[in-house]
Amino acid sequence: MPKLAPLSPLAAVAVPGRYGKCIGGPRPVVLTERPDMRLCVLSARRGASAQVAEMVQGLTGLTLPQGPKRVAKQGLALIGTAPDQWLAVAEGDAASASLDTLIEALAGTATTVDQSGGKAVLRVSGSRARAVLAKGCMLDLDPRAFTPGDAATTPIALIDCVLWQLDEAPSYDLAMPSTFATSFWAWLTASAAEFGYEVAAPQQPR
Amino acid sequence: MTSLSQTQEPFRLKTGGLIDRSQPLSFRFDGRSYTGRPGDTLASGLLANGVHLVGRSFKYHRPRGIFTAGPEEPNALVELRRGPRAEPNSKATTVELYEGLEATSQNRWPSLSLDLLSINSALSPFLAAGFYYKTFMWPARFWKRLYEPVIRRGAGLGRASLQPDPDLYEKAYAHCDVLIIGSGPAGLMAALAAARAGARVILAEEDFRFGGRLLAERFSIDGMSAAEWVERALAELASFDSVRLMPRTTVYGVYDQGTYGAVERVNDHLAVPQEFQPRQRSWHIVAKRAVLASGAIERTMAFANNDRPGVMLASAVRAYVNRFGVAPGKRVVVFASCDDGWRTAETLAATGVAIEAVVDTREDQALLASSFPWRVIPGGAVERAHGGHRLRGVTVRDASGAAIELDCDLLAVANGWNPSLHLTCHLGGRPVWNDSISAFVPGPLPPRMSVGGAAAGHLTLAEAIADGARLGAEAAKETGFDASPPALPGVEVEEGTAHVPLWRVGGGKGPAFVDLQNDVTTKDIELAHREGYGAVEHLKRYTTLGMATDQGKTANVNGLAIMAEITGRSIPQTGTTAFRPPYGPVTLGALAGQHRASHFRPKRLPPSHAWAEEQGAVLAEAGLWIRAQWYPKAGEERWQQSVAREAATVRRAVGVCDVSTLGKIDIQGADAGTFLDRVYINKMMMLAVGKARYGVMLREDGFAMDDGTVARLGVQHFVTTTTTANAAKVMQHLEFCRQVLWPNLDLKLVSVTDQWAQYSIAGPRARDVLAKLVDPAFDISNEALPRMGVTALEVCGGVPARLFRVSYSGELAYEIAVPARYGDALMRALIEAGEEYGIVPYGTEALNVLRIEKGHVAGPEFNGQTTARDLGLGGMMARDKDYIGRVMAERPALQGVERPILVGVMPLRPSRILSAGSHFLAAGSGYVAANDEGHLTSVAWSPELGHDIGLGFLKRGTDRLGERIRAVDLLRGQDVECVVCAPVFVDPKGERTRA
Repeated sequence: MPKLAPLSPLAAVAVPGRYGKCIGGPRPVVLTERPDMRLCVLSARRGASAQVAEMVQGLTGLTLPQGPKRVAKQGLALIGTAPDQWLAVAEGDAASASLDTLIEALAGTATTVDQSGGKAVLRVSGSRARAVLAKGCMLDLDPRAFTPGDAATTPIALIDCVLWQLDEAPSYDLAMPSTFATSFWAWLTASAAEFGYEVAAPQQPR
Repeated sequence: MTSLSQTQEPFRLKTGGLIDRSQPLSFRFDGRSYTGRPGDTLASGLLANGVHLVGRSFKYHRPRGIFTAGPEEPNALVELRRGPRAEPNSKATTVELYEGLEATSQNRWPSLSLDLLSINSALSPFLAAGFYYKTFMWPARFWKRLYEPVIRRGAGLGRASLQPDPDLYEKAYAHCDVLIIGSGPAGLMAALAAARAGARVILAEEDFRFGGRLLAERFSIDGMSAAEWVERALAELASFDSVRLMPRTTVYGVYDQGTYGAVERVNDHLAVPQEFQPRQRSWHIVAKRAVLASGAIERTMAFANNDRPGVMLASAVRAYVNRFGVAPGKRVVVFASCDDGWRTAETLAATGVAIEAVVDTREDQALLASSFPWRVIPGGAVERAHGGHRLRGVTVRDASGAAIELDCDLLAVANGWNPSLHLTCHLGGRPVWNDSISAFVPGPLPPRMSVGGAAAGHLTLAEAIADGARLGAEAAKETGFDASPPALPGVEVEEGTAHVPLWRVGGGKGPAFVDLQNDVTTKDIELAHREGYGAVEHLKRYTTLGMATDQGKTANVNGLAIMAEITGRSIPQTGTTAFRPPYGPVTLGALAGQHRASHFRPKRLPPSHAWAEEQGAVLAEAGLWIRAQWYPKAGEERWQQSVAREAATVRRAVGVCDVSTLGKIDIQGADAGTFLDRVYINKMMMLAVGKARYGVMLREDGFAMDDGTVARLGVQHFVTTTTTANAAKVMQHLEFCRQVLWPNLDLKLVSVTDQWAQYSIAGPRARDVLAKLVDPAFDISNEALPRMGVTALEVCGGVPARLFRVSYSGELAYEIAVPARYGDALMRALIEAGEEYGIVPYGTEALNVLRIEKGHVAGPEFNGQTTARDLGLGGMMARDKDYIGRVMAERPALQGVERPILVGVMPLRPSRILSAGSHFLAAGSGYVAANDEGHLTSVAWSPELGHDIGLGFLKRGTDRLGERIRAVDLLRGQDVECVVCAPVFVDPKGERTRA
């Protein structure tokens, strides 16, 4: 019986290397595909919001955000995407195990739907990351308006994305429907070319 | 004259101007080489070389020169660049000069100086407004074939290149507290005030250099030259992180909620854009407040031959001298109705240009004459200009009525200013007349916009600076910053705004132009009035006044004023002139940005895409998806061969098709069953766990919306599929139902379309193929997983999967789903596993053949105009529950027996070809709509039957099986005799799916 090897949505196009302007100079934009992340939509069942928040707090130590915010601890992040709905993102084995625990514990109280294959996650980082994203993202990502911990559900270059800021580099993660990923990539790389960008080696897909 | 001695650029002044004399730039105009300097526009470069004739007019092919020094230019339109980058109608007055620039004049043949079509000029008495429509009326059929093509060849301006644009364009979004439009004295002060308060400021300037009129006048501010003051202000602004300076950026439109459209000409000032950069970028700027400081445009007067090259706005003359270091003439007459014109005489005199005379329309200006060394003609008017390709002189009528002939090669005209209030009109504001400056000033403003300086009708430098400081601080304060107006810089200039406008001068022989770009004269306006087009909107449409590419920036108010004179009304009584976006022309490329050609909209790639490409599949767009239509094999010359082979192989052996594009919705919750019962016409609540069911949903109006399967994975867990085309619409509909109609139901919806790669494996050997991949712990035998069974299992050593025994093809068939990342590998594994059974991949065309053979309805039948009954699915409509669309579907008209219903048809002679869209007509009936009995929706050549088959809707169709009917397609000239049959052509008892 053949073994099935997972293939990340951008495997064919995101080839590590330096592209666009100033190859060899500074790295104003770094793009990294994150197929290693596990994603799961988590939504509280009717009337169970408080109970879900309590269980999440107890199990992970995280306070479920109300509104478009991200909280994270030890590789497990929860991002508010809609009323009573969150995107859980796990990076690394420990966080993945916590996510499994959470999914199991929440059965009946919240619905959980795996989206690890349904979404491609791209990390866009570097001093010109904002200028690149401004070519497709309608939101104001200026540090006065959007900071680490902020998140948004918004179309970027006509593609629905969940976006969250990680640090002040700045670094952003963008989660988009995986079948749109190559189209998104074409827009992103064309937009980043004038600054020069690096495609970092992706993690192994999980 | 001493300063005009350079050989290369004979009209370049020795000193002064904001150009770099150390660096020559070579450029070509109409094939001749010239030099200019960095900082020049094409217009100033041409003037430096004494080139005044730059184009021919739109209708009469009259020689035209450079009239302005800015974006309001009506005359000096040229074709910029060559080949695919050629851009017609580029304003020479705004084109930034670059090394190697190439431009050509437009609308002339064979050459600019000898334009044979200038015969139109001699015919001008016959070519007045409305001439074409009145003259070429008869015979009517000549209009399209003869008159219009000939007229179009004669009229018009530049031509588009028609070659693909090789450059990149992009869009971008920007946000700020305060957007400042225009960087003259008001704009710069506003920017300083807002930026010092800490606000995020965007300063947008249409020109390539910031400063506005400060660059064109000899002002002194705070003891330094205006240009130095501008440099200091810019340096201060650049020191703020919170300020974005945007030169070469035109704000062209004001939209709702503080959104502004702007276009940035990133690389238009270079022959070829810099690598990786767009030529232009279109911006959506979202601003909490905006300060409009767009300045004003000077006005002209109408007199005979006022379009001769060498007639120029007085303010433009000052700009050429002061900003570009160019003398646009050697002997000058100034014709003014205001103090402003005198400044031009002073400026020119300071450079050594001979001032022939200053003609002032006002008699009391005689007092001023004493202090000036040149001839002054108070109470006079220029009646006529002389010359052809270049102005040679003017006839002036003085206060006593005597004619004075003056020699000159430059006539500077000053007739007051019109505030550039275009943007204030974009949300419906109408300008109001201001008597003190005899001009329209902004009326009600768009929300959160303020306007200052000349744009507000405050025409002096001191007013502009004070306005800017105040409005900038106010805007910052309104956006939450602690701001107070900054100290005002000292201004040592006395400006008079005294002004008595003169709109037209009668008496001279020759056309007096009001709209230079569209060749509209004072006579046209008189004619419009005589013929009853006195209302300003009628005037515009009858004469085309203000309808050219410059949108009447120098013409509208003059035209209105002349109509007011003719009708004896005041200007405000006559009307106003308002503006819509865009303020200036915007390239379509900039609006499209990156979304053009294959990137017009995002594409979705199904999980087997890479593999399908490797196989040489023929791909097609299906909505946003790129899907394999068929997989040609060597030796197959026609697509029908490939499709027939694929379909036949499914019937005979086994095939695999990527159906991941179907919408998939995960539905969980205690009320999930109740919810599904309300949205589908058939019952879902009692569906057993581990089973799937075909379902149909209706729109609120009772017509069929979509179909798909509903599978129950657990007591509170369903997963449904939608058609590929309707996936987003159905998800939206279901979310509306959940959130708005029934918020009390306990369920959640999540789209899992992208999460699962899903393949249909169909054919008698389908189970054999799957059995090789399913992990041994799972039983997929006919007993364990019968038809419509659903199960979760693992494949290929632990990869989680879902297996649905559903069939679209009518064969033994399954749909297997794995997490999307395993999709590519699973497709390869399926092909390998199926090799011994002769497996083929099949595309959407074979999928279509198979479903038509089985009479399954799809997109062509779910066309938004059919009901469940029409589709032959009326029996599925549950009678003992309510669901969306039930009541409306029961409307009597939708139940009528005459309403066409689904049938199958076959051509009587098997060799005949059917075409979808054909209408059904009874034998012997004529080709008239009254005889229409329905139409053919889907057609395929059936490999199973060896001839064409079709599905369609026929009146009383179910009662007419075996009858003959004609399928008539007048577009393709077909009239095919057919037999009506049941819409199932293969295995009518459905035995194969149970195998």
